[in-house]
Amino acid sequence: MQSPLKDAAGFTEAYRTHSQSILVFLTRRTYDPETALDLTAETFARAFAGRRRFRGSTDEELAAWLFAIARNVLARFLRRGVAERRAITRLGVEVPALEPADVARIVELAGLTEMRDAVVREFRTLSEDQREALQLRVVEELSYIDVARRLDVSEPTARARVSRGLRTLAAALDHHQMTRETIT
Amino acid sequence: MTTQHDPSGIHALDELGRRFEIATLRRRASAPRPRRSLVMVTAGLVALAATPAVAAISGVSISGVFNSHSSIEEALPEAAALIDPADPVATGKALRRRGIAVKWSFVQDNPGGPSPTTARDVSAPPSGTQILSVLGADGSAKVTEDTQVLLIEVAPNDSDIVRAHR
Repeated sequence: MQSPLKDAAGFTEAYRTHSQSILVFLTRRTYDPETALDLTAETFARAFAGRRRFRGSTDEELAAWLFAIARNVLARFLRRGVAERRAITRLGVEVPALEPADVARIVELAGLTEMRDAVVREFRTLSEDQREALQLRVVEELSYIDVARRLDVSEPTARARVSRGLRTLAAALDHHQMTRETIT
Repeated sequence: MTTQHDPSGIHALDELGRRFEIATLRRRASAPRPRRSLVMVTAGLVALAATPAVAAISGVSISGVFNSHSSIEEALPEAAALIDPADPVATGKALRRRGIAVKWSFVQDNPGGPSPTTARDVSAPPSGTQILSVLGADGSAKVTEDTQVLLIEVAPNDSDIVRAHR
């Protein structure tokens, strides 16, 4: 069986088949459709650049390969805090801007509204100390020093409360994502 | 040649696909034929992918390394084989013995900060760390046969970023 990436039409077909699921995968992990689109573009640009390294022959193997690249792209984004554009720039492709209707569609496909509901639910289960700390730090975007002053605690204590709260929410979201991706 | 896209309902995603199609057709039209050396390198890569040291780079699986966009395995396979993710100090010594200088970047979790992690240059890997990634000297994934300096990112063994890479 020949590689699905054997020619230009094969790559186009790969994009057509898998781009939406990769966009949804990345949206659920960044919670930001715009960033997810950038990462999707970089994923496919890397796939094109490395297409000769793909050894599979089936669509399932192709999907696994593309998702492995997407995970690498995501890992670098999480580590650096910015979406890398090296491969997409090298390919000379400009990422189009998202229109409001696009954002709404991606939010719907990724189930972000449900995930936000899950965050709200989990937020309510946090201790009052952690809720206050998260509210001040994340919602009101205060510095840790100001959070500490408002809560009348030391800065390390403020950091610890925010950190623990975020970890609890992250664990809940991980569970939500896994459940949803098992279902869909 | 053009291919008709099924609309995804996301205009920007479809438009991106159209731009990819144009760019990839253009690239293929001007792409040189694969050279013999590329075939040989690829064959070497298959064998190299089976080594645990390479497989453990960035904590991804053997197939993940093989398929990922890293290039040290291609450009410097002997150096790649010296990398022990669990032992940055030994890795640094082994690379230096082969004439490759090493710069270190210490990556730490940054809970609640503007970015998930922070990184700073250090002169040596702190104790209790493991290798997160091996990059070119400029922090990019580009490594060539002539590369003489590598940037190695290390992170604490018990950090979230390491757990995320397992």
